[in-house]
Amino acid sequence: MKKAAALFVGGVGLVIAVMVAGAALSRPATYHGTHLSPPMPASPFTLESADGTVSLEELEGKAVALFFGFTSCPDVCPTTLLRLSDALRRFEEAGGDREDVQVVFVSVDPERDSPARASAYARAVDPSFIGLSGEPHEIADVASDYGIYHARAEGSDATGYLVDHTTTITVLDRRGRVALLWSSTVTAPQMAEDLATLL
Amino acid sequence: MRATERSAPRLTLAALALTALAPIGCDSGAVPAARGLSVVDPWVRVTIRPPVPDSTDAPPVNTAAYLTLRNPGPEEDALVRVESAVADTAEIHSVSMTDDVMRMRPVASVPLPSQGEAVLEPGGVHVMLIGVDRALAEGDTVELTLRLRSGRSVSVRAPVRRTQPPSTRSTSSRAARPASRMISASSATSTTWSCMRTRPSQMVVWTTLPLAA
Repeated sequence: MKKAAALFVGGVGLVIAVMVAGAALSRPATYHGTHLSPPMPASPFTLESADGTVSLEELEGKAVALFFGFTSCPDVCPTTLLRLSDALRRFEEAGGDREDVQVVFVSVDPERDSPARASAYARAVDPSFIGLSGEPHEIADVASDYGIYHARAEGSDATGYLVDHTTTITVLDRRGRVALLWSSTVTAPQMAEDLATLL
Repeated sequence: MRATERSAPRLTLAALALTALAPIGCDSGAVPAARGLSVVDPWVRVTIRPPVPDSTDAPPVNTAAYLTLRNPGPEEDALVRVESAVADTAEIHSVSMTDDVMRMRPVASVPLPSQGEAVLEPGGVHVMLIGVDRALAEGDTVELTLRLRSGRSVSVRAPVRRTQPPSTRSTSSRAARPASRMISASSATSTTWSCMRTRPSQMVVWTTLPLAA
């Protein structure tokens, strides 16, 4: 009798475990950013870094966080890049592998930001970051492909022109597809969680 | 925090007020004019890339300064100019964000309501330091002088940080707002604001609170 009861309890436990596991597996992953399901193909591009050309396809196998900005920007651009650096640190502390993520900064101010300058800026935030620039028409094409608005605005004698631009971060999955969009309100801890979910 | 909260030890209140208020000086010739102004949580972001010495073609190195300027007095005022020895120029800029598109523009002034505050923070109104002549790293400090429309001014020594201190993150995007977030010292009848010399080289705007429980 005791054996039958034990078998019954064990069986019920097994059924519950299977149900819980099934529910967890069938639940769609949740993200803090905007998740694109299915992911969209990402437009390939090749731009210049301080060390030569970098093609997006070289980065396949990693999640890529793509941010467009300019190095004279004192507020939103450094805030965003430092937030990405903080997110990578948190991702690593939570058990993630930093090597699985590549942050790429693309200048939307190619007239003032040379490839060397864009690279130095990105690396100063985090040595693992890639900074890219290129000819104005190349930057315009890449920005357009990723839905990034950018336009010059009048500044002062001291600042020179300013640059209005989209601050959304585009995240590609390991297969080089656009999988996530992070708006400026997504925090570093939320980015870290999204990376863990995506990877 | 409210100075009128009876449960809080007043010594603690005084200590917190001294910790929160960071100005290092009022214009020595205008102490009465600067009376009452306080600057809370000033900070300057690290320079992302160092200046290039003797380079004439490199674009200037820029960064930003942030703070909350409080005006417990009955007269409204406005922040009209900021000066710093580390930068060629300092301008006040506002940032608007529409559909995640950032637009930054110079502004002539920031309103400072009576019994209110002007909040300068990332993604909002900030001081753009243009042409920074040295690398600014965590642990450094930057002296800023804030000049107001009334002629008052206050100097502050701002620590250099990588990111915004969590305690300063506000939920409001308005640069100027009434005193709802202020330490309510200005409303407590037993409290006075003064500008007082504490070290030979520094002056501190501080809140005088009764120390006796």
